[in-house]
Order: sequence, then C-alpha cells, then structure tokens
Amino acid sequence: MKSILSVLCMLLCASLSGCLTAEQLADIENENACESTVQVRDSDGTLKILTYDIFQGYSNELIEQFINQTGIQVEIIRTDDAGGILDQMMLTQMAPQADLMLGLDNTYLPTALKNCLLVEHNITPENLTQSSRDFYDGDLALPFDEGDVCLNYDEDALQTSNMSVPTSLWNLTEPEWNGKLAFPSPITSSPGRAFLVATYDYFTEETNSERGNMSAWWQAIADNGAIFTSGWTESYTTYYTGGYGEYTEGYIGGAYMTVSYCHSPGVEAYFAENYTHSTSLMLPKSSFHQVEYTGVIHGAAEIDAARQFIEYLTSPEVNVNMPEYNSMYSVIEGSDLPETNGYRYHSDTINTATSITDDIIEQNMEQWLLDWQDATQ
Amino acid sequence: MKKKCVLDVIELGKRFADVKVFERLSFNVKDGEIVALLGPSGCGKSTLLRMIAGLETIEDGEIVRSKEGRQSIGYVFQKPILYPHLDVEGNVALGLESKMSRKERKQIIQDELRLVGLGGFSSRKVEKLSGGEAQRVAVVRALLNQPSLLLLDEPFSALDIASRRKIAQDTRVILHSKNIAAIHVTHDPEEAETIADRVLLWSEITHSNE
Amino acid sequence: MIGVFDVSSTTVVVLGERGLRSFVVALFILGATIPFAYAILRLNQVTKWTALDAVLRFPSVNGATEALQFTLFEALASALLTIVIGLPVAWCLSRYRWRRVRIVRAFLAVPFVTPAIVAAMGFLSLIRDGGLLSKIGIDLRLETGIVGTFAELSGWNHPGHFFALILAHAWFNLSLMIRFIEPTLSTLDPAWEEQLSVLPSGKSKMKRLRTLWVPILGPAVLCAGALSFLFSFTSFALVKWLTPKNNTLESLMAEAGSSAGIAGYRVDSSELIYSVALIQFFILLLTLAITGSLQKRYTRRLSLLSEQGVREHHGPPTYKAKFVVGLGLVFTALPFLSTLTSSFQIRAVSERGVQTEWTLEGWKKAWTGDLSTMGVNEAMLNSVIYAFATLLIALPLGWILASTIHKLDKRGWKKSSRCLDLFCMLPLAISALMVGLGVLLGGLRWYPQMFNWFFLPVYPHVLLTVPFVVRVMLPAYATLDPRYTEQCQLLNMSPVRTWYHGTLMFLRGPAVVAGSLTLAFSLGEFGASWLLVRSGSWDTLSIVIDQLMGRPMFDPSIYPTAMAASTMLMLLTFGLFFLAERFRESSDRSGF
Repeated sequence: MKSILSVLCMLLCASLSGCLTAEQLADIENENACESTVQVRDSDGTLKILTYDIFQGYSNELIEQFINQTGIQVEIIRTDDAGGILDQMMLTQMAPQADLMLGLDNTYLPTALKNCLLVEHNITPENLTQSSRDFYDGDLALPFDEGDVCLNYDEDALQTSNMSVPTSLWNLTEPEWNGKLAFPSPITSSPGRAFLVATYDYFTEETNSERGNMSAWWQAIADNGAIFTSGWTESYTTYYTGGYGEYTEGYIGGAYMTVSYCHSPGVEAYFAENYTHSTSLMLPKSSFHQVEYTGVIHGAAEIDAARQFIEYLTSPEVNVNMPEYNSMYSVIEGSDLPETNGYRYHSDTINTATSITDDIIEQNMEQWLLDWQDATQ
Repeated sequence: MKKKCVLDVIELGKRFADVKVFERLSFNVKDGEIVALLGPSGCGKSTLLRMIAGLETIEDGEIVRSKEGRQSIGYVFQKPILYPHLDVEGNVALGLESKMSRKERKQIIQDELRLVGLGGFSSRKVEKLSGGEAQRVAVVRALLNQPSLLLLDEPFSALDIASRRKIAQDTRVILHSKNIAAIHVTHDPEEAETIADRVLLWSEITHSNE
Repeated sequence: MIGVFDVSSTTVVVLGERGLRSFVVALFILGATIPFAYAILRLNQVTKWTALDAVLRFPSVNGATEALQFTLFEALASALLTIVIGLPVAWCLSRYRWRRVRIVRAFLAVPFVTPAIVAAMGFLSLIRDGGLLSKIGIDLRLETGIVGTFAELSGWNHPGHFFALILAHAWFNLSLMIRFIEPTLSTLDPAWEEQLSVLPSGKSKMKRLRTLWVPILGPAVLCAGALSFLFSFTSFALVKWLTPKNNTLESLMAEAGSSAGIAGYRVDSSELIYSVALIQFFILLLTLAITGSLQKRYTRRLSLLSEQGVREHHGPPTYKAKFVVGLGLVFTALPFLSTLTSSFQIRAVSERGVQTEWTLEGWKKAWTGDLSTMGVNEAMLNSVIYAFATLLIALPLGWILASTIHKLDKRGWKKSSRCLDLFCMLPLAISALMVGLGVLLGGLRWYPQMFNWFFLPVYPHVLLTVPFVVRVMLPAYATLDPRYTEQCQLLNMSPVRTWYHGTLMFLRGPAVVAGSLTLAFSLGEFGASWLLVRSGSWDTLSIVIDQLMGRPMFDPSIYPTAMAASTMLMLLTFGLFFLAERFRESSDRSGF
C-alpha cells in the first residue's frame, strides 16, 4: 500500500515538474488541422450544429421546417457566445464533434480560416447583399445574417440625469459617465470584438486620436468605472437600463450605454408593442458592420447534411425571416426589417461604417486583444 | 479417573509496544472444570482470554489445547454483544453451526432459553432486554454448539449483587449439565466462589508487570 | 492476494481482501490524478512554464490577484456568517424534544445538495427589484435605501451584492452547522452541565461557555466552519449571478476554460488556468488537511446517552427556541418558495408597464423542451440514470477507501492512513474544471470515440462524490465496536456472514446517508461536466437549467421554464434527502 502511494506520488510530481521529451512537445505543437489528418467521428445520421444562442423560441420553427423538409435529424451543441464556437472548434480540431458551424462573425472567421477549421461548402446562393460579401467571398463560409454593431444608449436616463448625448467617444471618459457604461469583452463576445475593431478604426482618424490612441481610450474607459462582461447578454440584460433587461431576473442596471446593434432599438420595439427608450449613438466610425457566417467543419461526419442546411439557411424563402428568427438583417438582396410594431421605424442605420478588411483583422486581432487586456485590467 | 486437560497455558507472556502486560503465566483447565481467575482491574485478565480465543497474538510461551473432542471456543464479553438488527432468537441462532430446518432450530433455541429462565423471549427485541437478560442470551448463544471451552470475561460485572449471584449459580448449573469447561474472569471473590470449581489468584499464576 | 485463473479461455482474476483494497486504492488514485496531471502536462507544454513558474507568475496573470483577494474574503465572511446563523439554530434544535425533528432536519439539509444555479435563481428572485427583501427596504441588488447609504458612507463598491453572496453561502452551508453540532449536543449527558453549574468555574453562563461549551462544541464548529470555507471558496454559479462584477478563482478559470490547452491559440487562457488552478489547489489542500484533523478531533465520543433521553431531559422547546428554529426554516424555505412561485409567473411588457400573469406555460415548455434544449422529462431521465450509475460506483469505492483508511489507522500506519484520507479529498481540491479539461484534452488526443459514451459524465460525478462517501463512512467506522466482528469470528461464522452481521448491519444507516448524498450531488452536479457537454450530448437537468438561464430573456417564457425545471430538481433532491434522514442515527458524526 505504501509503495503504491509512493510510486503514484512520484508520477504526479514528475508530471507537475514538466518533464516531457522534446518529441512529445513537438507532437502536441504539430497537432493542427492544416498539417495533420483529422479524425472523423462515426456517422449516425444526425446533423450536429455548433452554435451559440441563435436558436430559441421563434427560430425553433426554422429548424423544424428543415427537419420536415429533409428528414435529417438535428442536434444543437451550444456554447455561451461566438468566442465559444471558435474555442470549441480549435479545441476539437483533430477530432471534431460537430458538423456545421453557425455564428462565427467576421472578427472570428479569419482565425478559423487560418487554422483550416472549415472546408468547402459548395453552395452558390443567389442574391446575397454586397455588404455581406465585402469582407469574405470565398467558398469556406457563407454569410447568413448581418448588422451594424454600435453603441446604444437610454434616452430617458440621459434626459432624467441631464446628460448630453456624446459627440465623441472621449466624452465617455468624463466623470458624468462614471460607472454608466457596460461593454462585452472582445475576448469572448462577437459584438464586443466588433466594437473593439470599430474603436481601432475610430482612432485612426486624426481628430479622434488627438487625446490618445485606442489603448489610451480603453484605459480611460476602464478607469472611469466601465463594466466589462463576458458576453453581450450580460451587459445588455444585466446592466443596460435601456433594454428589456430591467424586466428580467438578475437585473442590476446602472449602465446608460452599452454595445449592441444599431437596429436593437427596433428589436426592443418589436417585442414591446412599439415601445422603446433605447436608441443608437450615431458617431462616425464608431460602428462595425458585422456579418455572421456558417460553414462545414473540417472533419465533419455529416457533410451532405451540413451542406443541405447551409443551402436551406441561405435560401431566400428562409433567410428573409432573419429579423424575426435571429433579430438580425437578412443577407438577401432587397430584403429589409419588417414594419411590425415599429421594428423598422426604431432601427437606426449607420452612415459611415468601418472599412477594416479581413487581412487587417487576421494580422492584428491577437495584438489588439492583448492591448485591450493590458489597458482594461 | 484423571480428567484430561482441555487447555494448558505454559509460560505465557504478552506485551503491547514496550509495555509488558504479564509474563510466565501458567495454568491449566481440565475437561468439564470451571476455573475462576481472580485479579484486580487492569492486570491483563481480558488480554489472557483474548489470547486463548485467538483474538490476540502470542509472543512468549504457548497455549496448548486438547486435540480430542470438540475444538470450538465460546466467548462471552463483558458487554453483551447482541446484534440490534436481530431479535433474541436471531441472535441465539448465530451460534448454531449445523444446518437444520427452521422448525428444529426454533425448538432448540426455545428449549435453551427456557433453561436460563428466558422462555417466551424468542421474538423480543434485544434493546428491550435488561442487562442480566442480555447476558443470559449471550451465554446461551455461546453454549449452543457445545464448545470445548467457554471463556467468560467479567460478564456479570454490570449487574447488581443479587443478579450476579443468581446468574452465576445458573451458569454453573448449565455448564456442569453440559460438561463444558470454562474460565471465568472476575475481580469479585464471592462471584468466583459461586461459579467456580477452582479459584486461581492472578498473582499465583503469573509474573505481572509492576 | 491476487489469483489469476484460466477458465475455458477466459482469464479470471480473483482478488483477496488485500488485493481488492490495493486495486481500489490504485484505481481511485489514478482516476483522480490522471485528468489533473494530463491537464497540467498539456498546459505546461502550451505555456512553456513549469509548475513553479506558474505559481510564481500568479501576480502577473490578469485579474488573478483581485480574484484571490475576493475569494479569500468572501469565503471567510461566508464561513463566519454560517456560524453566526447556524449555531443558534443547531443549538435550539439539539436541546429540546421537538415533534417531527427528522423532517425539520431533512428540510434544513436540503440547501446543501441544491444545485448552485437553482440557489442562485432563488436568491436573485428574492433580492431583485420588487422582490421580498427590497419590499422591506433591504435592496441588495440595486443598492438603494439603507444599502446605498452604507455604500456611500463606507466607500465600498457594491456591498449589497457581497452581502447577498455570503447570505446565499450561509444558506447553503447551514446544514453543516446542524449536522456537526446536533449529534454532539443531542446526546451530551445533561449531568455535565448540571455538575458544572454547581461548581465555581461554571456558576455563570459565561463561565460555562468557556469551561464546557467552547471545548465541547469548538471542534464541531470549527469543522463546520472549515467546510463552509471550502465550499464557499470554490463557489461559481452564485458568484456569477449574485456578484457579477467580481470573480472568484473558480469563475475566473471558468471564463477561460474553453480556450485553454490549445497549442498556439489563446496562450493567455492557458497561462491563467495553469497559474490559478495550482494556487487554488494548494490553498484547498491546506484547508482539507485542517478540516481532516479537526474532524478527527470532533469524532471522539463524548457521551453514552441516548438522544431521546437527553431531549426528554430538556423537555419541549421554549418560545425562544421555536422562534430561532422557525427563522431557520423560513430562511431555508424562502429561495425554494420563490423559485416555485416564479415557475408559475410570466411577465408581460407593454407601454402600460409590466404585468405579471399566472401561467402553466413554463411547466409545459420545460417538460417538452425544444431543439436547442432537451425537455425536462428526458433530462430528468438522464440525470437519474447518471445518479444511479454514480451510486453504483462511488458508494462501494468510497466505502472500501474509508474502510482501508480505518484499517491502516488501526494497524498503526497512521501516516499512510492520514495520507490516503487526504488523497480521498483531493477531487475537492482540484478544480472541477481541471478534471473536465483533463478528460476532454486526453479524450480528444487519444480516444475521441469516448464522446459517444453515454456514461462519460459519470466519471467526474464519481470523482466528486467519493470524498463525501468517505467523509460519511469514516466516522461510522470509527464508532464500530470491533467486538461484534470478534464475536462473529468466535461463533465460527464465515467471513461473509461475519462482515454482514459485524460490520454491514451497523453501517447500513451511514451507507444510506452516503448513498443519498451521492445521488443528490450527482443529480445537481454541473461544474465538472460543463466542458464535456460542449463536445457531446449528455444533458442533465442541471445543464438544462443552466442553458435556459443563459438564454437572452426577451422571450418571457424562458424564465418560468427554467424555474419549472429547477423546481422539479428540487423536489427530487428533497425526496432523496428525506429518505436518508429516516436512516440517520443520532450518533452519526459525519456532518452530512
């Protein structure tokens, strides 16, 4: 008994001390989908979709329709956010457990492409909007919805507190905004990441960067008591005073401004019978055009089923319903938000969106994230 | 006719760690004989019985038992070791080694219980028994399979004087009727005199640690 | 002894008692350490840090120092509050002749096995704007009124959230105080107190407190306090929901967990996990060692009196005692009632304002589920299957380990006994996340087919429940009278019958308690398997609740649906615990 314990203690200590051969080290480092063979799991006829909170309530019918039409069974593997989708794909790249990715946006897609996590979808949908194809138009991922990420603020709160609408992002670093801002982390949240990219673009303008660059701004924001959350849901429903969060459990409030979509006020109105006190902050270059993608995962067991789903999702008959299914714009040319309950009326449209390309994002995102972490923590 | 020895203890010694409990202890017990060992508390009487029963190891000396006849040893602890999940009959039945029908078993147990004045107690729960009743049950159980030797480790010490006398007398009668040898350990001289054929003083049979 | 036989071309290994014990110990040690060791190994490779580097660089990891400070502070405060709230309740419950004391005890114990996320939702609904506490002027959520004034005067950021958290922890751990103190007090001979009261050193209440109660109850209180500290230290769901602006070490790791262990990707996540996991491990190991030695002191027998006798002596409860225990029951019940009520309510928002309507929609949706979330009926079946599978493995495993520890101690191998005792608690020191990460990384590397195994989640469940089985069975072994086994041997009974009558029959009560705890913990377990869930489909009731609560809440039916699922889990847990309580003996000193 004693000897067993001693041997096992030694094993544990050896592992903790990090004694591994260079061979084993190289073995682990060489594990990537670009260079090694990916292990495909056994097919069982079920299409496994890796996604975040896309499907709930209304959009159950989207999946049900697909099942009825094709007879293919569907299983959803949920992550907390878009960052979770990429994490999961990276983690399981040598033995993926899902077939289809749904929800990586144009700030996460470059990493997925660089690491060979997707394969050709072989679908050529017609009538996609130009804005959804500007960023990426290759055959490894297809857009299925889009929207502009921008800051939303609570009109009533500003009025009650006698605060003026900011005319520059630097206004948010002033004392009257102390503790009244909530930002989802760009590490884990796709709107958060999209906004980070927007701030990069914003501070490339000379007039905006007179007081400091992107890092300096984020640091000033953090020093001014801004709240950072892991996901959009938390910052929007727990802290933002202008949204539906105040009617939900867990609400704390206090943030008069948060990152969301320029059409989020329209979504609020849609669900609240044409009522909202939220609106978007229309500052030039302070927003980012987000496109969400779907794609077949490298190593998928159900490739055909995945392609069928992509075809279905990007078909005009289905995709025009994205505003109801997913609270985002459809990528079908000529479609728009519905007028119901003031959805379209209360949605803002941005005039000047950022012009960051996928190459710029791919080359700089890692550094931006590190700079953001250093600035805010 | 000279009775054969059922037990011969020869120069027995015992220590726990560095503490010597006793050394060079010698005595014997003849077939059918009841021997009382009289000694003060803490001198090692219980340890001796446990060594005879095989519950403690032997360091010095030897214990020789007769190879003729029955080999089993009965033991009655100071506290009645009755199993709370069994009733009186169930506890006594634990002492039955041979397989028999339920009816036969029941009859035997009832007869034995009657011998100790516990007729009708078969289905009683053990927690309902008095101290004396519990020890009687323990004695019945220990004797059920006719052991060659019964070891009694101060079994009546928790009872009042009158009960002690009565149960000691009854036990003596039963042991003689079944011709079962016994070693009865006690610190009460009157009890020793009541139950035993022969009383041995601890100081006479051993060299204890002082 | 290990014998190997070839029986018509099938090799059969027969283990003697020693062989079986060695096998079980080795199995548990390997099972507990391999995932952790593999995760550490992997993190070592990805970060290029040794374990020492990881420990020394802890201060440089983003958010780590603040998380450590917050964790220590809230764990200590929670333990103290648990003692302050729990001690009076335990005292009053132990002293008097209560009617239906078993039901009361069972009810007070339920929070301990309630899934953390259910507890979090229960407390949120209590402290929210318009909730019960804010209605009486204590706004812990939005921090208006007294709480807001206190925050301003003290300069403390969000004291209301902190108080809500430690209150929730005290609610969770209340039963620990009762379970540790009650067996001692309810069987303590009243003569001790009476004797002391006529002596100079016991004439006043203060003196009796110093001379009698502190020495007698001290170990029990400290033991319960240490365990409260341990459980509060590793709290995650409550921290996430009640103090969202603060991180404990566990919640900090949880955020980074899904991106750790990947070569060349998010190395900062791997660095964070590596560093924080090791620091947490050492702190928890120390806490467990202290708890273990406190529990040893605590399990010494103090009295031979029956619980019934002692309660009869003190008579029926006084009004003060009734008030105190009543408060304890209300405190325990409130989050449950709040959850139950919320499952029948749905909000309707319009320009006119917010209305709350009564509905069964939540229950209907919970039962059937949808494509994104499994229905409660299916999830409950999964939970129950996993729970019983966990029971079938963890109970015998933990039992044999406890018996081995006891045997080693009895044979004089005190150090080995102590070492094994501590090792059995190791899964509580290793972050549940690390266990999940190790299993995940190892499986993906060497055997991805394991993600098709329906029973894979049982592995972390077993690891996390075995320590509790050991903690329940070990004190039971300590109170076993060896003479019962010796008597069986002297009656020439077979080894199996000897074990049955001399050991099993005395341990069946604690075994039922251990079994019920195992079932309840497995039912409510979430943290250890949340990483694995992403790569497979093993939805349990806890996971379903978490998935529902993680959804955006603009669909008003989501919340009552989650509450309905939570209520079902609560009822299942309560039922199991009531069953356990029927078999628990007053002399049981396990603490659970």
